[in-house]
Amino acid sequence: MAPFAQGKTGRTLLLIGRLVIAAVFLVAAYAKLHAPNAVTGKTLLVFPPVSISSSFFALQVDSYQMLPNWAVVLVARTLPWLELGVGVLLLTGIGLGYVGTVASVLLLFFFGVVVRTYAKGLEINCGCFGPGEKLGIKTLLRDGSILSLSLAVTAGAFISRRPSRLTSVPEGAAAKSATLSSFAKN
Amino acid sequence: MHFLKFRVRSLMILVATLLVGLGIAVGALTSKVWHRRASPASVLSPDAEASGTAPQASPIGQNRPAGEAGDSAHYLQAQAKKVTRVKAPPPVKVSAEGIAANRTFGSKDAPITIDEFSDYECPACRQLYLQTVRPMLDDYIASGKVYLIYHDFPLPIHHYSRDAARYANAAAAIGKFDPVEEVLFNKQAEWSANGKVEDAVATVLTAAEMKRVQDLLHNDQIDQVIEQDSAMGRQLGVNQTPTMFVTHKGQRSPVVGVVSYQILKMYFDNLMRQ
Repeated sequence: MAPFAQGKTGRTLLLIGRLVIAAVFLVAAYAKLHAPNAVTGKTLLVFPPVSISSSFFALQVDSYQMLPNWAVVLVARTLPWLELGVGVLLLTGIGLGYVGTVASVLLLFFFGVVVRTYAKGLEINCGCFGPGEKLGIKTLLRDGSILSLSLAVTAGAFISRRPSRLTSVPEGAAAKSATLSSFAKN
Repeated sequence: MHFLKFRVRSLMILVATLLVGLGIAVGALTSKVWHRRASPASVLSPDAEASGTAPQASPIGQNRPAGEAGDSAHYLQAQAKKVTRVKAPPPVKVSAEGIAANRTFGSKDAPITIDEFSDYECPACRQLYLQTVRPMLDDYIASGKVYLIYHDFPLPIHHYSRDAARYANAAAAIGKFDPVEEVLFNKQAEWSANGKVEDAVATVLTAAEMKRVQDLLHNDQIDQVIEQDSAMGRQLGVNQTPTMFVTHKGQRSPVVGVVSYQILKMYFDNLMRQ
């Protein structure tokens, strides 16, 4: 596993996976901060006031019927910015292992919520990427795939940081080669 | 001579007294006739007046047969017969627009308009109605901040929701939408299990009102309202209930599912601050 992750193919796949997860988070953050303008067809770069977008997102969080009102407001005000931050860090690759862990935890939480809501039979909007998306099997499959990819990227990030067995030299071997080289000189 | 003067004086006093008495009698008689002509419904029972089913009685005093003028008891009997033979109440003019107009709450000038698409047999719709719509009726709707328009969107998976919608629309035609809507949601568990929508509706209507509702069920406009609402919902992309469309300054945003009134209020407040 480690040689694969540290090889050229592994690094390429890790890069692609990282960029995909980054795009997911950035799109999710954009959709939450841009709504409800997106519904009314306003231009892509025209954002409503933060108070409007966060209170509109709060309605979608509240529809899950999981949290008390104060928690709904807190999540609505912070989650879009958290997603934006995670997306930017994933894009830059800074602290990939730790950022990947945060991303995976978030996605795991979202997936759990979606599964619970679907199992309860609640007919609501997912709210994952803005309004207008009914929560169903497709949502479960999509979120599950993204979670799997995120876990793979996180694992790959940690594994690729480990020193490779091919390039690292054990202590005994290093001493032997130093003795042999000094013998050869003499 | 003095005697003659006395007699003339007495006669004049007598005539004057008779004239005054006659004048009073004529005045009293004519005032009674005037009042009876101005409010013919006053002859009807208070119940008939209160229920709004007061028939159009012929005014007392008008078209009075000449032969009955001198026999008051006979006259009253004849008038009583006239009252009982009055015409049936005029049929309620029903139009889809009229029914739709009776399913609105609040002022049309409110800054926020909500178009709610709901299904009477949907448990989530019931929850939204009880925990969000009812408080909103007493608060933001009553204070003129929100104008609520109700639309039917009966889902095919609910067997009796269309029947419930028909009863509610018939009730709306006679101005009784609010109590019928409330009882349909309050007793949802009962009628959705046994299909007896009429029994639930009958608990909040008088016998006369129930009769009018039952008659209206055969009217095409009742179903036309439902079709119009469903078509409108499909056009707007409604695929589940409850779905509300919140419109403010020309911007319409969908709100799907059950939301608490506090969170919805927060959204309204932020909208109105713009």
